[in-house]
Amino acid sequence: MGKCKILQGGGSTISNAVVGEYYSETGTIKSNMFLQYVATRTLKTTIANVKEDQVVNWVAEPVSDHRFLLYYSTSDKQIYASLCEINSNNMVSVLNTVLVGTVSSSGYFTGMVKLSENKFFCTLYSARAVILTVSGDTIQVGTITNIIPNHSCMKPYVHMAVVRSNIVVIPFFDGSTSEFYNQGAVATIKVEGTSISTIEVVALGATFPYPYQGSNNIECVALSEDKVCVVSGALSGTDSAPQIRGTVITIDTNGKMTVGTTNVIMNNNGYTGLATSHMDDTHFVLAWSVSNTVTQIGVVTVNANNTFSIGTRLSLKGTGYWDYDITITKYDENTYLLTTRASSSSGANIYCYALALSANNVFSQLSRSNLELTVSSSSQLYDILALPALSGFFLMLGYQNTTGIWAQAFSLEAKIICKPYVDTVYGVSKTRATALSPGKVIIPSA
Amino acid sequence: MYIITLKETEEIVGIGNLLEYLDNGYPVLTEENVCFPRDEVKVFEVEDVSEQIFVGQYCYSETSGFYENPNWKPVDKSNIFGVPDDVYLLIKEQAIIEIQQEVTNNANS
Repeated sequence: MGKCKILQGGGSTISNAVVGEYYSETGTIKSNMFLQYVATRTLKTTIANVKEDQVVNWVAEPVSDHRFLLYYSTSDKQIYASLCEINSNNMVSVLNTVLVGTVSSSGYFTGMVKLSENKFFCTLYSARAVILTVSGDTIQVGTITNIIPNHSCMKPYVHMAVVRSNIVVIPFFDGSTSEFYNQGAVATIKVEGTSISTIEVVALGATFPYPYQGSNNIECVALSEDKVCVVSGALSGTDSAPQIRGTVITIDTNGKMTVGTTNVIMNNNGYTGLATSHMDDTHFVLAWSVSNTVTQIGVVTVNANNTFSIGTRLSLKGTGYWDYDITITKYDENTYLLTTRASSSSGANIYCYALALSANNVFSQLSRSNLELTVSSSSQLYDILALPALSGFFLMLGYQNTTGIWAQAFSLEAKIICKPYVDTVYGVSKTRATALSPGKVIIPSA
Repeated sequence: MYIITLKETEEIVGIGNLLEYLDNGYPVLTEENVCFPRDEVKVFEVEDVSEQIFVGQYCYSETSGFYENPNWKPVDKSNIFGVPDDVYLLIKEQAIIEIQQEVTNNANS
């Protein structure tokens, strides 16, 4: 999932106003107003010009204003990185593409996590990693290094976290034994310059959910400089009660881990899609698919004894299919974008929800949009980016068999609406206000 | 008891004993601690709900009562890729072999 930066808003038109303090002619009405996002598409651009049906999976991370790094593998077992730029017309162009390396099997996942403004830690199937450094329009490829010898797995190294600026925490399902789906595990990797060294690999134990229990994802979310939480889910009706469980891990300056006990985050829930997003030292956002028609999102509190409590969850209307891919992107301080990809044999649709987080850590739904993007049902990954300099835009990457990887920018048309309880105060009923300038809004009379 | 249904499909998305409302008008099933976008749902108070009625699997309306959700799909617990089970198993077995070989190769390199 793309780890976006906070988008900076401001401006004189409604299309780039942001949630914030707005004033009516009669006084402050901050927090009474929200933006309703309406996703408006721009032209779709193919950014990975590979042969038909070649791309297997991809991830992307923002590099800087207007730029992002795309990292992807192809069915001929090549791994590429492309530096891309989105121009003022919202078209994406590829500035540079490099061959990162080759892999022995094409059908597995690649992951990428941003270490600094221009440095990225990337994983390759199987159990290898490399540092990519962006300098100007070029991409420099470091030495490919074995990172987790004697371990491997089906779905490794995707949802990584970074602590202490140079320690990468990698959760994975360990497939190194004769039993393919084995226990969850975590590795810490230290990065110095472009040098990569494995510090430690630890198993999370039998109580941590693993794929035979229904787990489809294993997530790792950074809580603070020295603490992460690894999360996964167990399936109803199989080995275990349906639960989402988590393990808090503390990491010292050398990358050594202290693994806490696995505790239940959520009872009677937890199956396919799962996504996390950092909030602060003791909270993170968690979203998961409850059924083929319901996805939920809530704020998890990590207690002092590393147990969990979850606040009021928001139940969202799902896609009608089990949502196997869910992403959460922090859009601004109080707004999150949630995407779900509905999986079906005939294709897949992507829905995007704009969600506001209130002061008491409860989400409310600002909008729900079917982005009407069809991605290959066999593609298990997509990504979403919010590029910092492009106020009001986020970028969706997708893949289609006939076109390869494409990118499409969506403007978030900011229609400012009043929360319902404003009705009685200001006498307006869901009337769209007009943003004249940052911090100034005229609310029509009822 | 309270039942929350989607306005659009009448599908049950929540069942609970206690109900309250957030400041923004969202109904909350208190014991379950789940809230719902108020514009998308209807709230019903009913005397009782059978244990055979499950969220997602059933719909409810005042006129029809409870009825099975025609759009409900049980989860496919293993094969999520839209290919026949035998093909799925072949791919899976091949993947296991590849990965185990890869582990061996990495250990020897």
